[in-house]
Amino acid sequence: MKKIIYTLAAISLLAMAKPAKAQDREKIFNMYYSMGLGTGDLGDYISKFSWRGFGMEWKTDVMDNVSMGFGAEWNVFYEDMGYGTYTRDNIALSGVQYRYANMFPMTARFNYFKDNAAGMRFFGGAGIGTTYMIHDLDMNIYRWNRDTWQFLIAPEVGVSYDISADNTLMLSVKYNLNFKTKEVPSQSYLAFNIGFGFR
Amino acid sequence: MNYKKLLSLATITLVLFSGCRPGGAEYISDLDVVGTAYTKEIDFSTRKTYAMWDSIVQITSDQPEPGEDRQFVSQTYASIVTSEIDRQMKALGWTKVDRNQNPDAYIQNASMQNTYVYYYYSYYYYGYYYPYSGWYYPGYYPPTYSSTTTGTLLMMLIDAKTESTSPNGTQPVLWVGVINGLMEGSTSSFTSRVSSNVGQAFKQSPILKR
Repeated sequence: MKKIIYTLAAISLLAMAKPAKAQDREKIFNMYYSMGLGTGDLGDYISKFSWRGFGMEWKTDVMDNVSMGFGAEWNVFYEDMGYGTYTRDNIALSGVQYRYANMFPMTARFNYFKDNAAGMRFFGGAGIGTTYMIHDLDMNIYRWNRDTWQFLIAPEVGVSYDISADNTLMLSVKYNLNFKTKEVPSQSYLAFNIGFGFR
Repeated sequence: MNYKKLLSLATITLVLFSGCRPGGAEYISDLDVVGTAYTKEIDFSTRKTYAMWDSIVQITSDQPEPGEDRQFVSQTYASIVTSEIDRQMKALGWTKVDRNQNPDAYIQNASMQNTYVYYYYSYYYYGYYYPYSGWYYPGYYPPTYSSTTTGTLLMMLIDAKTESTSPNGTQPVLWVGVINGLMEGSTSSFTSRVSSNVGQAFKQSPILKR
């Protein structure tokens, strides 16, 4: 159901827009620092805020108020769980657990945007693609490892500000909604991005 | 420095910062684990007395043939373990008796060591471009290895009340505690870790409380 809603939203945005003239099309390459907060199952696995992440995207205006492009990120989640006892039925195991999640979302993106005279561009849109993820759990000298790919829809809102003719400062919040697979439940998270754009 | 260079530098700094690998174990004790399991088929509440061997069997890859002497860990180490077990069992309400006083259960302990060798060798690193021994292609590193020795202590609470149904007369194990950690650190820190981990094994086993 969610997939259908997002697809319809994308089509509606495209339908609202007028084609941009070729000479007006802005092309921009953004590089940004990305922070993350796990939600749902990922939040249960690692509740700590992630300060490690990086992303880049390339976008071009395709219509008066619509841009399209693609991008990729890398967010690293980590939590030292401290000493704990994990009990299941008649078995108990105590020790220190270190949990890691490396997330690599890759999406094709489209945005609806509005420019103002002060050089600000407000944008909202979504990306569609996939996330490759690696989960590690270290305890004792052993590591339990799991990796998988999940289908991804990533709604995003943000703003960019022209700091020079060629450069912008960008801020955005994105929700990486990864859909569950047979083996792994949905591993979703909020990403907070801040970076620079290069025209 | 011009504006573009400054922005590029700021971006590169962000990339480097985000690439830092998060932490992990800092101390040897962070790698210690304690596992316990108990049988659900036997009523623990009817077991109140136990006897224990003072020695700890050393399990090695060369197990003695029948008639040969078994190997044991040093009595100093064994005493640390057995006295902590006695302390914990007493706190849980058990009474220690002599082996010939018909105990409800026996405690037998065993120990073993394992050494893990990690070896890395890249095909692209090899000094066969004589005489340039030591040459290696960028990104590929000289062979390296490291080794880690872990020690395991196995504590078994063996039932003495159940009639053995096994053809070789073995008795069912009521409860088992396993402690594993690195065989490193000073003697005092090592003995302290052993004691606290033995204590943890009983702490996480409320079924043993009388």
